[in-house]
Amino acid sequence: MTLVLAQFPYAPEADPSAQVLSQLKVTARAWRQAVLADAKNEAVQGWLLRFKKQMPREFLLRDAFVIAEQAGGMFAFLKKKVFVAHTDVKKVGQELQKDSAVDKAWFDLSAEAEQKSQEKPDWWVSQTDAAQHQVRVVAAVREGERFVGTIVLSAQWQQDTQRPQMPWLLSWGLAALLVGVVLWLVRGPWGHLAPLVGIVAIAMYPYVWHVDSLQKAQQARMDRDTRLLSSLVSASSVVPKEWLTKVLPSAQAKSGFYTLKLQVGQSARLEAAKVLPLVTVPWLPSFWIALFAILLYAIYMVGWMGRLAQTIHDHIGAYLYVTPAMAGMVLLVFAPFSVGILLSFFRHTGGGNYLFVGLQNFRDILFSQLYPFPHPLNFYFTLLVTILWTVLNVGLHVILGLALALLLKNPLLRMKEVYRVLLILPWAIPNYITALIWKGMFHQQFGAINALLTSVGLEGVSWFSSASTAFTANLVTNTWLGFPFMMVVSLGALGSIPSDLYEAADVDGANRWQKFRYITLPLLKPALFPAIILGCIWTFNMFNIIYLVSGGEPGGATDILITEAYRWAFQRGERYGYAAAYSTIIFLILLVYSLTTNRLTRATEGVN
Amino acid sequence: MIGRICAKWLLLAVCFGWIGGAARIALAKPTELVMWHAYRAEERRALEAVVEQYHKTQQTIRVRLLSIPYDAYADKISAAIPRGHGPDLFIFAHDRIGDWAKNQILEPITFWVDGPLLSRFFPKTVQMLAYGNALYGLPLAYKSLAVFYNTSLVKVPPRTTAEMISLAKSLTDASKGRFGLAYEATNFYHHAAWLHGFGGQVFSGGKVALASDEGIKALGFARDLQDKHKLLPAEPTSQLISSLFNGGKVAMVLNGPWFRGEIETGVPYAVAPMPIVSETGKPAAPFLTSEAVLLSRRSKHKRLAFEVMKYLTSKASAMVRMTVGKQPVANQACYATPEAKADPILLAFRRQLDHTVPMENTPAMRVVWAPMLNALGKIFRGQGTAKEALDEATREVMSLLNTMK
Repeated sequence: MTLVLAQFPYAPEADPSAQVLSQLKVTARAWRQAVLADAKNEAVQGWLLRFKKQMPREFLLRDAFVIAEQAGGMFAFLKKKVFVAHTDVKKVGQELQKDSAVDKAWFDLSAEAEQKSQEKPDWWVSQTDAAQHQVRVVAAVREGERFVGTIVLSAQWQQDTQRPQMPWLLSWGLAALLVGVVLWLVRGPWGHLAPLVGIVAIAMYPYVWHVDSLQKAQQARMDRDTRLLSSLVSASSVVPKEWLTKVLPSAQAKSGFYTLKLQVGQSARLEAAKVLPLVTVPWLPSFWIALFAILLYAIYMVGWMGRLAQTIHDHIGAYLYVTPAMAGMVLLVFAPFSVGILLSFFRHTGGGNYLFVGLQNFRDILFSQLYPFPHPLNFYFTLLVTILWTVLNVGLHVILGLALALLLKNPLLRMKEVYRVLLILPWAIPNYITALIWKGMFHQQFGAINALLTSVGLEGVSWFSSASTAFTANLVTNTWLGFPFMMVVSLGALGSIPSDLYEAADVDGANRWQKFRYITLPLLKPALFPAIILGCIWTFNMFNIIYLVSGGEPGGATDILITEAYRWAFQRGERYGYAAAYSTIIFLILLVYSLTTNRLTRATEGVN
Repeated sequence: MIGRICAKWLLLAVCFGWIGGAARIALAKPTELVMWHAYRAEERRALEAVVEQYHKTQQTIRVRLLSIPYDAYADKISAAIPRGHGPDLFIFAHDRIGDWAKNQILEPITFWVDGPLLSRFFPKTVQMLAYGNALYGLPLAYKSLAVFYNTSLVKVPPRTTAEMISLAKSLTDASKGRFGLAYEATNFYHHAAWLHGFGGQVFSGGKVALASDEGIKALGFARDLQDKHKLLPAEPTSQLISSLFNGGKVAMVLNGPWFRGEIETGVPYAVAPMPIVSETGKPAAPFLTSEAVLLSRRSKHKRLAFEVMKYLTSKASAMVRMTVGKQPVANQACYATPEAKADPILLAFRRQLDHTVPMENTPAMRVVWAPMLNALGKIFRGQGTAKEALDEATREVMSLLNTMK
């Protein structure tokens, strides 16, 4: 996987190979004439020799040849291909060898040329390997509709040094540290900003590094272009004059093409960017950098680094015990999490390639033109469904759980243990099994629920046909799954309420409702509140039930945010970046939610 | 003394001979190729037998089979091969070829292929494996829908849809949970048979043609099966259909060759080709998928891997896959053998092959499924007209296609 940062105002398509390209254009035309005239291969060979001789010194010609095609076989794509000209004289006139991997590569290239020549101009850069400093240029020769053959030139150019700049890492790291320290000293409400700034700085590193080396490379290329241009002019004595006049103006324009190319348009630019590996950031370094940033954040959260070191030193045993768990957390939670956030700024262009798009994914989700509000795929619609889903579920869980807990507390009730076990059972069964059982029970023709309804004389309901009934089906299933937890929490808390409070209330003449309202509820609150907060977060992301019971039917109207994100990633054209942005938004919503509830709990605790 | 020297030399010679022999053995170590597949049960046994058989015919190549769960298969391929962790060869349906060819996951094999090799196969099944002007695989088997019917309920399979409807009507009694016909109605893969039977297409002239007049008629026809004729069980999932068929509760099922493995022993059944659509006189043509062995772009032994591909698709291998694995193999020569003639179900799929529409292997085709699932779902829930549903599906397909650019 590579991440492509393609937001640079220059056209990589026209990079160092520009020179070869312009020469090839001349040669390809002449070759084409020769191939078409079928001048016993000699003219074709002659052109090759001339081209070899006139190659600019900056370039080392590795291979150059013409492949021509013979008649097709049973299928159109089964054509025999023959070297008409080749830098290796032994190969001239030979059919491509079935056992040669090199020949196969040429054959495939020629097939690609045939394919591309239907839509593109007759030459293009097929491979630019910046690490190897190689460029390969391919030209398709066409006679009207008929594809005649392929001309391939591959050359190496002299190397520029474009090493990654270590000082950059250092300076950015130091700057981040400095800002962090200052902010930490200032402390106050902005104290949290310190690590964030550090993260941003470090996350920027690959981007900055590449911008820098790109600018340098660009400058170097411009210089070389002018150099090469002059060499071409002097070298082109063999090239017919009439071609020369055609080539030169466009070649001259190339020194300014970096701005010119901007007008080609988004798609052309993005596509071209893929050709050039220079702008690709290796995935792994970015990943490690992100991981490092998260670690740094963790360190900041604990406190000052020195203090941390001291603490570690003092409690080395405890830290050793915690290390396995921490390693697990980092590997299983923080790493995927940081990758997810990183991914939300990219667009998956297929085959594990990603293109940096900045905030576009978020813009598309939050201000979608494609799906206006009441559409089930609209973000706000889904958000509304999700909130409704969470509130109703948690409400029902609490009411049912509390009611059952109060019943089980009844001192006159016998066989309490049996009831308790029975009521906890729904919780003990894996929830996807429960979900599938309920899905079966909601089936229109064979489901238990409709059978029950019809036996009572009611009409069976087609549960998954309309949004409200499908939502109800989901709700019923999740309520079944969710109340035992609230019941267990309430039971525990009820047990801790001292009975003398109730006795005092009895003495004061309080009725049952008053006892519940003024004694039970306030004393349950410290236990119930965290459970409710947790329940909300669980329900908000309750993927299994939605996915397995209603499956988002009808038409995605019962999908919640998390299942929607899943569908964007795996069911609607592998839009991983978009889905990652969805998840990031979910995370932000939950973050805001837990921060506010935290504050609220603290406030209520203060009052109490 | 001389004897001892001689003995020493002899010992030395023996030692060298032994080392040399060992070195030769080490040098001649066969190349191992990894092949992924998602086969289970009979098909898996057949493939293993074929590989075993291949190992006996030569010493240079060893094929190591790795079975991958189907759900994660395609994603695993997309993820593993570009990183160099993938297999050399893998078996998959043709529908991802366009995607994978574009993303440099597949290696074109055009170079090695020649006319005689390709004439092994039914032309349709190979042509589907080409993308652009290159060939990406050799076909193992083809799959399409056909009519599975319970022979104790249906004596003569229907030849036209009118016959099918009247026959199914006589066998339907929803109150007793008996149905004349069942298929995954909301799945576009199944619905496409009607679409083609009515003369419609998914794409036509580079445009989405789902909402054509033919498309609307086909969708109306499918809706009538449920609403007017009331032949179908509600919300038909594949599990529901196989349990109904096994329980003798449904007379006819439209399903593919994989359904053979789901039918319990003791259920009397046979297979017939899809009926002719009475309205148009054309046969209902289901989608054809071609299951192929494909070559990874990152394989280190492409030439050798191609030899394996050739062997896997040869008659010797195809016969095992056909008889043991019950696959409708793509190798033509197999169908002339007595073994093939003894398997009427196989022959039914062979007859169906002539009336199928190859599913496109382009990335565009892969976008069609989700919107059409929505459209079909709406129609079977009785929401809106066929035209509205198809127009919306078309819009959605177009917008998904736009985001792919």
